[in-house]
Amino acid sequence: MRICIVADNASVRFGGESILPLHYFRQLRQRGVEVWLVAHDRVRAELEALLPEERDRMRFVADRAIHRVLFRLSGFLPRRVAESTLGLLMLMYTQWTERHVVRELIRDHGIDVLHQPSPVAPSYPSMFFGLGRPLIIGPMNGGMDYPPAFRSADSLASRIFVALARPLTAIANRLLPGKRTAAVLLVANQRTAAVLPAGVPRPSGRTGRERRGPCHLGRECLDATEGRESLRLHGSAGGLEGASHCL
Amino acid sequence: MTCSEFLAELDDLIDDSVTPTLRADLELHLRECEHCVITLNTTRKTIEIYRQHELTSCPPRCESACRLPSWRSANTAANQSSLSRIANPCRRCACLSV
Repeated sequence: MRICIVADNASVRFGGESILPLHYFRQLRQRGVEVWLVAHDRVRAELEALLPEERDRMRFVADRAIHRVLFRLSGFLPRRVAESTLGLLMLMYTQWTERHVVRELIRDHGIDVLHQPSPVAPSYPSMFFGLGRPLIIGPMNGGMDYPPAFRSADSLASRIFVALARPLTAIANRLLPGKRTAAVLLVANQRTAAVLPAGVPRPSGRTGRERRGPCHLGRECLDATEGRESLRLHGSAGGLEGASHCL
Repeated sequence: MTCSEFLAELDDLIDDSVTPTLRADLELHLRECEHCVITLNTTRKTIEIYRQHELTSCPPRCESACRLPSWRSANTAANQSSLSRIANPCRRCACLSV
């Protein structure tokens, strides 16, 4: 299987979830899987120093003026507001430019599957639609608010803004259907599944260990394995629209 | 240990190649941080899913009707005969249960 991991950042240095694409890339390479990684140019120097033997499997999209402008403007906004506005715009723009690189990889290396491990936020749209290959997104983990002890780090204005902006993500996911058309959405838990955008198939309340049988959605439901974690696919009248797998 | 420090060690933890001292620190962090527990578990399971499934081709009779490849679980004898489609199923043959 030939996998293309797509990410904005894949970095140890940046911290947080940006390290996840790098972990997947390294772990799968260590296990002999054919994997390529597409990321933004800002992580090129770090990755090429960290994994020099994998240089030919890494592709980077250039840092453009629009990235720099959005980054500078976001400095004037509270962190959470910046993340969900200008940060999101920057992410979408990066993903848009990555589409061209992904197409080249599909053409030149016969990529079978695209995997987008980050961002882990379940509501963020994805630009990787219509590329002719199954897209796997996740594992996602979200639907959380700041714990009480950290509420002070999140201003009232930010909380109000984020609450107001959440419905807009449904519109964004309508316009950019990457998540709705993804082959598989991996979610960490039912809490995350509950905040997936509208129109996205949700996993049933049962765990992935159950045997084949109709799920609560009344759709055909298939567990590929017994007694182990497995993929659950939801069918519909017109065919499988997508699948969610609750890890 | 912070979450970023924990995440930096995730690779080694999954590979079980951490020192006993570091492992103790990581486990201490896991006891206090639900988010990192989730990240560790889901990363492990996702890699396992990739390892347990391999791409298979659809039977020739339905190749033209199938747009996307399917995955086959490759671990057990029972699973050898179990095909599961990742995305659009073949509408002409029984790809889901070949």
